[in-house]
Amino acid sequence: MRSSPKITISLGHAPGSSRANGSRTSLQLADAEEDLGWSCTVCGYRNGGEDAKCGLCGVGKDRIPHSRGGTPAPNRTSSDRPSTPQPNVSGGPGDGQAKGGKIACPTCTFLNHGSMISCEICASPLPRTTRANGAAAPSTSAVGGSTTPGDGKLEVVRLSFRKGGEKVAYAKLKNVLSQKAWERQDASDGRNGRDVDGGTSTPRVSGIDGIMQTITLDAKNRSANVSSAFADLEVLMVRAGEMVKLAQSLNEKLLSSQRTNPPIGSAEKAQQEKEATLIRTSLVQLGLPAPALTSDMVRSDHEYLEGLARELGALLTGHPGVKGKGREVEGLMVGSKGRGVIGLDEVWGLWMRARGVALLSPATLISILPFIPDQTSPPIRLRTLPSALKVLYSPTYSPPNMLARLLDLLSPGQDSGASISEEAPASPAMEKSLSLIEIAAYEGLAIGLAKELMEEIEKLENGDMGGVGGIVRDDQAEQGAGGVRWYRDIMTGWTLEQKA
Amino acid sequence: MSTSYPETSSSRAALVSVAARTQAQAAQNGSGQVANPSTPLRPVVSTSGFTFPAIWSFPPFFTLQPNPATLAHQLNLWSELVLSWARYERVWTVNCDGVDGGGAVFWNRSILRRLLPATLKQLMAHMAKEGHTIADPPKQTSTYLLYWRKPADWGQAIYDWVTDTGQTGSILTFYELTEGDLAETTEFRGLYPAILRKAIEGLVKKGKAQVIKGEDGTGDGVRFL
Repeated sequence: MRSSPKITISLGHAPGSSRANGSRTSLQLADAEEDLGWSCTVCGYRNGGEDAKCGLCGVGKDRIPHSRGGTPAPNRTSSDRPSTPQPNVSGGPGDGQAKGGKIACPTCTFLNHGSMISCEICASPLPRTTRANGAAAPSTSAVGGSTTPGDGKLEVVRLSFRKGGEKVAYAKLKNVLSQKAWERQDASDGRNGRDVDGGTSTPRVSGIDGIMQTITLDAKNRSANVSSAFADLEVLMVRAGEMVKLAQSLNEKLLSSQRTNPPIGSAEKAQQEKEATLIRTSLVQLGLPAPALTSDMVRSDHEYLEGLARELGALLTGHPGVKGKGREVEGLMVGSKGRGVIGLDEVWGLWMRARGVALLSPATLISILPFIPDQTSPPIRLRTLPSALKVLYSPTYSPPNMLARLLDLLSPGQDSGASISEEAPASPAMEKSLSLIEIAAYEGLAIGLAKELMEEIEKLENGDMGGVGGIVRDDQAEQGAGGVRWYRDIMTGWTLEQKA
Repeated sequence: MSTSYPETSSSRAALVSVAARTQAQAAQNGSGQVANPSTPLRPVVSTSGFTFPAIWSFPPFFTLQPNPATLAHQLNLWSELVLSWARYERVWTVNCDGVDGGGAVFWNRSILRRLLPATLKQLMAHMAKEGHTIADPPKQTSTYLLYWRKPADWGQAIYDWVTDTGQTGSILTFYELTEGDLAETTEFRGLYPAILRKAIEGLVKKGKAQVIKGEDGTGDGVRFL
C-alpha cells in the first residue's frame, strides 16, 4: 500500500483566538471543555471555550461585528477556512501524527494505525481532520477530516492528492496562506455584502449580528445621500446667482444700446420698447433686480436691516426704474395687480420665493417692518386687525380713508344712478346702508378681510375720524346679506326735540 | 386710548369734503339750535298721538354699538326717548322679558327692529345708574319702575294737592289717592302703588305724613300733617 502524496497543514493555537466553529464533524462529538465554556450574552447559549461565535445565534464572542463566515452549529460539516494566524504548511508525503497514535474506524470501530487512510478491516475511509478547502487543487480528494480537536496545541490538516498535482497545490496554498486573503476579504465583506448577489462566496452574517450590520449600513448610506444632496443645493445657489447676474447684464446692455442708438422710426421704437419691457418684466418675474441681500454683504446690522427693507419695499411697491406693461409702477401692492392689504405671512412667503434660496426667518421680517414706510413710495405700514392678524396695508386702505369712501357712498344726495345698495329704491324714506358683501365688492377685498376692516373702522375714535361721523351697525338685518348692515352714524349728533 | 393713524392728516382733504357737505345740508334746516344731520328719516306718530322721533326709524338705533363713544350717545338718546314716551303714555313699569318687548317704544314694527331683551336690560341698568329707573323687586334685572318723575316730586305734588283741598289731618287710603273720585283730575291719578308708597315714605321722612297700617284686608292709610 503506497500512500499518496499529502500536504499537511498544521494549525497552531493562539490563546483565545477565533477558531472556526465547524471544526467538529458530524461523526464526532466535540469534547466540550466545561471549564473553559462561555455563555453567549445575546442568547444565553452555553458554548465551548474555543468557539469564537455563539453556536445558537451567531454573535461573536467578543461582539466583533464581522465574525468568521460560518453557518451555525447545527450544520456541523460546514466548510470553513483555516482561520488561525499561524498555519504551517509542510509538504511531503505521509507525515503527521494522529492523536493518540490510533484512528478509530467509524464503521467497525477498529483502531487503525495513525497513518492509515482506510480501515484495515472494512476498508471504509478513515476520518481525518481534513477541512475541504474550496480553493484546493483540482484533483484533490477531500477526505473527511478525522480530526480530534481538543488537547493538543497543534491541529493537523492533511490533504491527500491521489491523482497528483500536489506541487501546484502546495505552491498555491502557500501563496494564499501568506496573503491571508481571508482576513482581508472578511474585512471588506461588510461593504460588499449587499452588492454580491448572496452567492456562496460571500460570508453570511447571521442573526442579530446581521441585523445590527444592516442598520449600520443603512445609516451610512443615508448620511452619504444627504451630504450629496446638500452639495447639490450649494451648486444650485451658485447657479441662481449667475442667472441673476446674466439678467442684470442684459438689462444694462439694453439700456446702453438704447442710449447710443436712438431709434428712428416709430415702429422701431415700439419694437425696441417691446424688447425692453420683455426683459424687464422677466427681471421682475425673476424676483429681484439685484441679488438677494445676505448678512455677509453688509457690515452693520442697521444697514443690513435697511437694505432688506429697501429690497422688500421694491418688491411691494415696484422698482422705480422698472415699469410694467401699463406704464405704471408694478409691485405686490400697487399697480394693476396690486392688492391693498396683504397678510404678513403672505408677504413673507412671496418675499422668500423671490429671494430664491437665500431665505430669512420671519423674525427678520418683523424686525425690518419699522423701516418699510421710509422705503416704499406710497408708505406701507403694519397694522393689527381685531382678530390679531397682522397685515401690511397701503394708504388707500387706512381706516380714515376707507371711512371717507364709505361715508361718501352712504351720505344722502349721492345717488347718480349707480346705486350700490339694492335696498335703496325700495324704501325711499330709509337711510342708505351697505351690507358686508356690497362693501367687499366695492373695495375689492375678500369678505373676511372686509369684515375685519369694518370692525376696525366702526371703533374709530373721534380724533382719528377727522371730524366726520363714523359708521354704525345694524345687527338685525336680514340674514341673506350676512346679518349686518352698515349705516352712517347719525346718532352721535342727534338731539331729541324737546317737547313743550 | 386712541390709535392714531398717520394717514388721518394726509387724508384730511377727503374727510373735510364729506364733512363740509353734511354740514351744508344741516345748515339748510334753518333752526336756531344745532341741527340734526339731514336724513330722509321722518318722525312717526303713533296711534296714541305720541310722536316718535326720526331716529326711532333708524335701524342701527336698535343695536348696541361696539364703539364706546357712539354707545354713550345711543344710550342717552334711548333714555330720553323712553322717559318722554312713558310720561306721555303714563307707563310705570318695564318688563324686559315681556311678550310685547317691554313696551311699544322698544319695538318698531314698521322697520322690523326691536331692542332685544339683553339690550333692553343693558339700557335699563344704564338708566338705573342715572336714577331714571329702579329695579322693582330689587336685585333682579327683569322688571323696572320708570321714574319719569321722581318719587320726591310725586310726594310733593300729593302734599300740595292735599293741602290745597284742605284734607290735611284726615286719613286717606292709598287707594283713594290714586283711584279715588276726588283724585280723578290730579296728575297722579293711576299712580303705580309702588311709586306711591315710595313717595309717601319720602314724605314721612320729611315729617309731612304719617302712615297708618291698615287692618288685614284693607290697604294702608296716610295722614298728612
